[in-house]
Amino acid sequence: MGSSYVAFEALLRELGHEVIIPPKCSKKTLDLGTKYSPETACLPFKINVGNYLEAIEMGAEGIVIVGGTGPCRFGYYGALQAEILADLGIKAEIIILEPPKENAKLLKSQLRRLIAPRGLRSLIKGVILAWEQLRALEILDNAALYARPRENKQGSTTHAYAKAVSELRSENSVHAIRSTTRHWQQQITALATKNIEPLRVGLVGEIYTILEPFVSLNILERLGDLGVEVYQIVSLYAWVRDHMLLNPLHLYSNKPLLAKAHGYLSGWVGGHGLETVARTVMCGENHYDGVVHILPFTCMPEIIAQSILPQISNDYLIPVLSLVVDEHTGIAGFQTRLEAFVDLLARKKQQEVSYEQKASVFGG
Amino acid sequence: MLRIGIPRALYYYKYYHFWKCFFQELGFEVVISPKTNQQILHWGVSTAIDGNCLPVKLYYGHVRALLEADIDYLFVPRVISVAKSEYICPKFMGLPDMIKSGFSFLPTILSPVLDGRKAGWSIMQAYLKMGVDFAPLPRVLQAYYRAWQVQTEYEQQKLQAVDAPSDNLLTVAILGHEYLVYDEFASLDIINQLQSRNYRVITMEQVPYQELTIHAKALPKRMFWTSGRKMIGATHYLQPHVDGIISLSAFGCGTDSISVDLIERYCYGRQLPHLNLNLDEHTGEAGLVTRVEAFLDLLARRKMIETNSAAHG
Repeated sequence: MGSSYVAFEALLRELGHEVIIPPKCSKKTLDLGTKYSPETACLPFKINVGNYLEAIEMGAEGIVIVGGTGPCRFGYYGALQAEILADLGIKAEIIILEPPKENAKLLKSQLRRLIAPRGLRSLIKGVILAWEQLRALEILDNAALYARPRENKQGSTTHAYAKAVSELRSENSVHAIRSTTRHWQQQITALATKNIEPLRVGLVGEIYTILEPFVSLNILERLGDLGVEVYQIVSLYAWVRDHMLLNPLHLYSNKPLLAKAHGYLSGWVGGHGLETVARTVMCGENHYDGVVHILPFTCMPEIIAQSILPQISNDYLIPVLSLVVDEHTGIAGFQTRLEAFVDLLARKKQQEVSYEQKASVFGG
Repeated sequence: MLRIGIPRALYYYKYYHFWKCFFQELGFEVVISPKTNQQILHWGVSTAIDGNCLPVKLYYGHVRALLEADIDYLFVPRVISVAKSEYICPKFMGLPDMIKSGFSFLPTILSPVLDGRKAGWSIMQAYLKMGVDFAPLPRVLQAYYRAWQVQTEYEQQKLQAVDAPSDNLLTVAILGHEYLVYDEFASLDIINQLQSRNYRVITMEQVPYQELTIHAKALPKRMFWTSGRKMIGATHYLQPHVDGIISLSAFGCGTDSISVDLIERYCYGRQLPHLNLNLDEHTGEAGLVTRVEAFLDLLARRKMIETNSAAHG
């Protein structure tokens, strides 16, 4: 899922395991995944299966994934993927970490298995390192989103970001992670040399699709290259903090989201459906120039959001573009639609500016 | 008399008897949309987002049909869960909001939140809360009780002992969400098609509820969708009693993408013929009939071979 592997790698490495990172998602990953997954499974599922098979080719013996209790399909990924691998005759150990209220005993024994090499202390240090890495990635992501539309040489932000991530991977202490982050944040922000005011667009939708560039067809880069500053309203760091730390401690409440979505969606619908609706309303309230909504084909919570977004668009007069992706999505068509949308936003902004100018001339 | 409209789609097929009795006891005139037809399909497909499954699109179509009927209220419950720790499908949770976004003029919508995740009184409370706006509490309680009785009677009627099939009749289980299996238009009337060709048809509703749950426990991970649990439990339970299984799913159904795959693997492992029919608004009857006939031929052949083998030891 994008660069988040750095955090999970840090955790597992600290626990004393040899971590195998499968190659970056590619057509081969997708082909493998679609071949062995159910046809109407969502795209993240298929990519996962492809990742597993590539990792196993590289020698992986075990896979760790989290479970869930629904209604989003993600909760059942691990279980079905385990069946798929078993039916293919692959002897990998699949560890599915379910939430404690589902099966606390199993979770305890799984955690014991995972910390076997180096013990409980390594788990604590590993979690802290993973946490810091997620935070670091968020800071660098935001820096890149700021810099890319303003960069002078196309691709320089992406290049710097990649270097930053590879340096982060080798850091093994909180201090080192933080100083690397500070350094690269400055480097990336310094690339923002063009003196323009880019369009401000919020990106909402299903979390995996947004964070994994192969699945989102590199939408963050594409929009940045079109001169758009993307406000990535979804963040893995925030998700982990809310659902893995605050929620189990009963300190998480989705009341703020419900309040924002009031009048549009009156309850949680699984996945990121409620977030998408609430964040689109926020974009409208903050007068962003537009919203791009991205989701995998057949994603149930996002289809609910997709049904509701047009109404928000109407009420707040903010253009919203919903993009559905699956393994058949063609790059050319995707790029064309993004370009057309950005053109529309640019024109709209231009018209608004000229109306304001006219109004001020005539005595405003 | 106040008129309340209930769309003939989604959970209508499960809870219609309860809803009709409940509202009638409260003094409503209950108005149902007509049976699914081409017009309703057209309305649904043009109002709902493409990515929706066929049953949800039909729901939009049925709501549109009800708008022609001059109703005072529209009943669109927000169903989160009907069984402990389980869900149905996210779309049920967002249904009232989706409908509100899809139509510009709607009568007042009644959408009680039916949340059975923690068992207990939550669902009953939701109905009572809705009911007391229209009648005093004692009458609402009575209405709820009567409706529950009627619903239970209906479910008992559907249960049928699953005996060993006779040698002459082939038995096929048709598994799928109720709103597909029992909607004659959406399912291309498959149940009648099979019965008219002298096949014995069994559906999930004919398997005792406890058996579904017990058999679904064979899964390595708890199935957290009610429909998935029932379909998989039914598959496991019926496997020794049927000659083949036909699973009906809607194209784009999220839960079925997982459940049907698990059913397929199970059937493959036990050499039980399984046919999955994927339905959407484009499904042509001819193509479907061909596949079903080919499948039934397969079942007949197997039976013939088995019977012959048995005769020869």
